Amino acid sequence: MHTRGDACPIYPVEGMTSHNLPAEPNRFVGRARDVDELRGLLRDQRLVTLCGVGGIGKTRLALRVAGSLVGEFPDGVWLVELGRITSPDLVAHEIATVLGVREERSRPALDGLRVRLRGARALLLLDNCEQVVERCAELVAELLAGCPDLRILLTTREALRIPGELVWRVPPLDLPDARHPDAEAVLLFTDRAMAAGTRLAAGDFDDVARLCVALDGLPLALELAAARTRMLSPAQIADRIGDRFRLLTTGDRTAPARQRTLLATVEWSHDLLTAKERVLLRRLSVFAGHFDLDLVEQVCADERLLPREEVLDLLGGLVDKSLLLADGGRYRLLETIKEFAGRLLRKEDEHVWFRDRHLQVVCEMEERCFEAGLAAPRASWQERRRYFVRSRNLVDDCRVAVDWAVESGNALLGLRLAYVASAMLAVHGEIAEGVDWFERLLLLDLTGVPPEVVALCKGALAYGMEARDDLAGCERVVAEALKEQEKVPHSLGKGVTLNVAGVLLLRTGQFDRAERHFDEVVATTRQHDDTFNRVIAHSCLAVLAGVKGQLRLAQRHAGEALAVAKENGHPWHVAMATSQLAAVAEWRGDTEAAVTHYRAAAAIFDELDNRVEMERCLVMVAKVAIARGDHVTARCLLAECLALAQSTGQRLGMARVLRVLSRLADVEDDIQGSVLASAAAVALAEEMGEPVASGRIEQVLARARDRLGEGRTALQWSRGRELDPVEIARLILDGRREQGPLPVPAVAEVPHPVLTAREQEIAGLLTRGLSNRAIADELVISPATVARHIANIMEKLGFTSRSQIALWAVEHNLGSA
Amino acid sequence: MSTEDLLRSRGLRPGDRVVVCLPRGEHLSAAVDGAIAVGAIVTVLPAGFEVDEHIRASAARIMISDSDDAIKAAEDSRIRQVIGSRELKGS
Repeated sequence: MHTRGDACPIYPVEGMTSHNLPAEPNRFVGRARDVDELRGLLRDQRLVTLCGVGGIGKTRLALRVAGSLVGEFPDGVWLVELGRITSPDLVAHEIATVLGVREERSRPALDGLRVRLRGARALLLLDNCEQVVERCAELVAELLAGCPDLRILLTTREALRIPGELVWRVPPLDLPDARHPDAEAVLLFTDRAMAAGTRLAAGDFDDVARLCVALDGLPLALELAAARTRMLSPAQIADRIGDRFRLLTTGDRTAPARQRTLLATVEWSHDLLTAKERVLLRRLSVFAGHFDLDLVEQVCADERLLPREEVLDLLGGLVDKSLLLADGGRYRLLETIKEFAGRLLRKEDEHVWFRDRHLQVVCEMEERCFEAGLAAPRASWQERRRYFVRSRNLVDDCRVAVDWAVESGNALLGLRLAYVASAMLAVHGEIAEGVDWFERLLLLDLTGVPPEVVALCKGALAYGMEARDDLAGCERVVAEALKEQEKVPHSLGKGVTLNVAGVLLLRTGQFDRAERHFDEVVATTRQHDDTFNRVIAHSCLAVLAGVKGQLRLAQRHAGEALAVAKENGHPWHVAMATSQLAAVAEWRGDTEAAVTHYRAAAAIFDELDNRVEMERCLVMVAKVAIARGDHVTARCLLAECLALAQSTGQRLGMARVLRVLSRLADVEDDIQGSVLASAAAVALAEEMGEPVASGRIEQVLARARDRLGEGRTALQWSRGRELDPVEIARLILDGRREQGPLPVPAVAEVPHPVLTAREQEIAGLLTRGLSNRAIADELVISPATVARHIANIMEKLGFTSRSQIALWAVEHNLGSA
Repeated sequence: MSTEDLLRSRGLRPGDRVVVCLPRGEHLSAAVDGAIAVGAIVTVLPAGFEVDEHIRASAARIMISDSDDAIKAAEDSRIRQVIGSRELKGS
């Protein structure tokens, strides 16, 4: 048993339980039996779909059920609101955002979600799936298949129709009859009427019952009616709404009765609004999700119909009438009301005008955020922070504004918006969405767009492509951008393009050219007071000097990068420069300084909630701790890093942790664990298409062959590739070393000539622990063919795993050198 | 799982109402027997007849049926779960 620090918990405790469910805005009425039933169903069933028409109360019921289950899901209950999403591509991204899973290269968000949720006992609540129901069906099926302890509850107007789905149809509230005068519908109506300040008289109750029946117990209809009780008695409302049903002209006559009832009630409530309230309500439909007063004033007000100074009062009026929800200083429309308002906006011919206006306003707001939050050469984080928050709150509106720019062919505003909004996202590691925006917008007719705007956007696109490892695409786009930007004076955007061009040189091994290039960038950015890009240029020069072994120079550039970063004031820059300085200290062999800098950088990343970079820094601290013989600290840190990598869904992060765990096992004389961890790290890196540095691995394997023999080493290596990487990590973290003889699977005495020559060859390659792809490359055949050969070998030899084949091959001297 | 256990696992309780709308055959008797075993009140609607009004007016929480017409009518009712005859086993 290895020493383990008593002071530090091996696995960090992540709060008690966690959820992101909102507080209930008012009293939840009725449905006690339904809540109880659904709680029970979610114990047996992995996927429960709440179906029903708009306004029937699916979301409210789902939130209630989810809220009551928080204690039963140790890994959390997570609400993902999909009503704001119209593009199927964004569904996985939304779930990832809620769960804190970060983008990893160009990998689909689903991969990260699988890593995050693989062993998690969690409940996902996907709300309002109807607009993206097909994508939801695919994703849900894949998540449930890959994550055995995951449960999913969703609300939608249309079921997913996938195997294992339990469809639960949300009914209206119970209606009163002679025996049950206080049915759910009556209770909801009276509760909301009281909340609106109405005192119902005893004589009203027959009318309330009549109204509840007329409204078919639909919760939204009841709420809209109850909000009017200050002006109209229940009898008057019941009469008027009754007329409505006869007069109802809009909508689909063949739609379900309750859908028509609801529409009639919404129309009735709408028609009681003042003229200005009506104008405002329909214009609010242009917003994506939540919006604040400022945004409403800028987008919706005009001189003629809607004076700006009246907007606040009008919003309050709509809230009072239950047509608009107020939520901590921000507002939002229920989906049903938003659709209704959107139809009116089109009917009044204001649609195009207000979508244009929305695009314009959102673009200008984002430009201000960009200028003050990012481009300002000197500002403290306090000053910058609120612009990042503001920009973050505008993301949904940016999406619909970009969509509109594409739809209406407004390339200029679309590109201006995409340029600033994507830069704000990129600073926090979100790259994919910006790339998608640019790719769609640059396909539009660009004749009216100034060439320097196109060039700026191409530079930003190149930045995204480089981050996603599309070096060929990046090179092409960077060249196009620079061709135009050479003609214009320096700007932050031009600096970005120049830095991307330099990074391309660096990554393609053209070190001398890269160095000259970055020297020029340093000179230019200094001349134009562009601290943002100067930090990056100095950091790259530090890397280049390190590559060339000029450690003093590397130190100087890293120090300069940090100084400029502090001057610039954005903590992300400071943290990056600090971790660069740490790397240089490590190269110089100054472990003391390396630990200090890595820890400092990790602390800043922690503050920025950038857990991906935080993990990268702490792994380095652990590595240094091992070198100094401080295994207790290393264990603590690596346990923390494992949790960070899992929670952000980063396979490369997990590979980093496993590489260092392999070192730890090695120095603790657990050679079997060391081989396991190395193999798992290599498998993860290969999965991501990352190059694998083989030097240390060869040393570990050589020592293992000495100690364990060829066969056992090969077997261990194959097991490491097959086992769950998290399990392997825990094995080493816990110091649970596998003692004695390995559990060697029985190897049948099969004379190998039963295998074809190709099969023998592949069995030999398996002793090197190669993946199907690597074997395919080696033999110049397709991975599918390799898989087929391996299946045949298993069939012939009666084996069930690759490790058995590997061990068998070693024992029959098929291992290739 | 027997029909009785299936219905129980779906939340059916004694005194609840169940609509069974299946053609005559083993599924029909399995469904009725299972629901009665739980203690539910069973309404059998002959498949193929005009069942819409009965289903809409029903206070049932669960319906056992494969009929498209019945399932469509359930959308405008208070039925929470529709169970197909394929799900009935071990009767």
